[in-house]
Amino acid sequence: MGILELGAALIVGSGQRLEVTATNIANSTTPGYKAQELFSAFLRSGDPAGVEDVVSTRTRLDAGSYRQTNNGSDLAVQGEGYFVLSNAGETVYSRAGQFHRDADGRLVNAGGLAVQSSGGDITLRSDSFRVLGDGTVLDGEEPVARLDIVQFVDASTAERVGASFRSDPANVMPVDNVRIASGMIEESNVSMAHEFLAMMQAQRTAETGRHLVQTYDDLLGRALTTFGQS
Amino acid sequence: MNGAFYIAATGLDAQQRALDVTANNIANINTTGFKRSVVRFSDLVSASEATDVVPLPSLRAIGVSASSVSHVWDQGAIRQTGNPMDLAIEGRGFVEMIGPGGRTLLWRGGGLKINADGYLSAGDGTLLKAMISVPRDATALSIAEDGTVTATVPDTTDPVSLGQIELVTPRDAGELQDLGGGYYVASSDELETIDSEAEGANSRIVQGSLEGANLQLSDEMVTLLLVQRAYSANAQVVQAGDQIMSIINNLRR
Repeated sequence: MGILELGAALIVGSGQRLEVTATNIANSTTPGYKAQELFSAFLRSGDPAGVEDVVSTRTRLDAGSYRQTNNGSDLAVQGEGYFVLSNAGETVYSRAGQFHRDADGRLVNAGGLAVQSSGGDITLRSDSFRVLGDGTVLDGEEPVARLDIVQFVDASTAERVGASFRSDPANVMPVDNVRIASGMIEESNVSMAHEFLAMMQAQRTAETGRHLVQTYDDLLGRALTTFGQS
Repeated sequence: MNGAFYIAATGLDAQQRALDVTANNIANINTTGFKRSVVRFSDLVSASEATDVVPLPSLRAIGVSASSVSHVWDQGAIRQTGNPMDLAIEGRGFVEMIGPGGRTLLWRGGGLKINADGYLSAGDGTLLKAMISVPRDATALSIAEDGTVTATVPDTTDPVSLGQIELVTPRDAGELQDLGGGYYVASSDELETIDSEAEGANSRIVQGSLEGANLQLSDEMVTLLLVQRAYSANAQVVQAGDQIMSIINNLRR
């Protein structure tokens, strides 16, 4: 990889960095969203690697802050654990707990995915349902189901799908001490300060790339004129 | 490269929608029976997550959407007005009304009046579905907690029953469509009648009172500030994207 390619890689990389930052900032108000973190690939002059995908991402899994909404159908998992949702037969895991009852009486999330209990979908007869701290769902005053809350054996292998995760069933295990807070939601764990720093870094990296390209261009131009005169 | 632009644009869009909703809430703080709305944000991925299973190994994020605006059906504060023609609902439930074209509308209560034909109607003239006819010379109109309407007519000493206002509730309150003016329409015709005598019903009609809007100005103001900050953060991303584009555009001097 020559100097020109290195400069290009820096500029392309800063664009990719900015995309990740943009996604994080755009979702700073999305409940349960987990920020993506960046790390750059090591580039060396002479590497055969192309300039595409010079940054890779990793999901930061720490909990967001909790906000009280006083809306009984908003749920937050305290400590470890994910809600289990069914997406047309496929299981996804999510920390986002803004649920409601759909026309068929099922408890679903904002995207219409059915929340799972030990006995599958949760069907409610009325809107007046409550969820207790241990995840028991009360319909009226009668317990109808218990929310399925799981954690990953190895969170790094769970695959991110938007704000949710997909995982191999073998990598999933139940949580022992389920604690559900009702009337609360978990905010995204995006830190604005981090994101703005990343944004400034992206801008400066692009400038560095430009300097590199322009300096090389200058040198080349000077070499051509100097040697052209002799 | 242009990704950051579009992602930030979805952020601006979603925050704009949140701003509209908050503004509408604040504007209606003195509206009788008003139910505040909240915006639900969800992130976007490049393939639709909700509709089908996507076998792609990795899905690229493409921003955020204000995926739904939903009403919060909390009880508003019940305020006594002393006017016997005011009606409030405590607990769940709506009064059925006859809207334009015979469509069933749901109403959360408010001021009543007796229209020119002698029927009980809402302040704007929309008829109650119970079609309660009030005799012209009736006095002391009274509405009981279970909705039974009685009045005293000159010939009798005991109040006579004129009919009953029943409370109904849709199967899924989330599906209600807001028509404005305090009216909602259910997407399905399945309405359950609330039996106020039943145990745990907790719904009753209160005469001489009005239900206030169920929102706190302080909460809405905090939301407003948050939305504003989130909006400007997204705007900054657009600027940063623009700057990188300009660096690329000016590479060749």
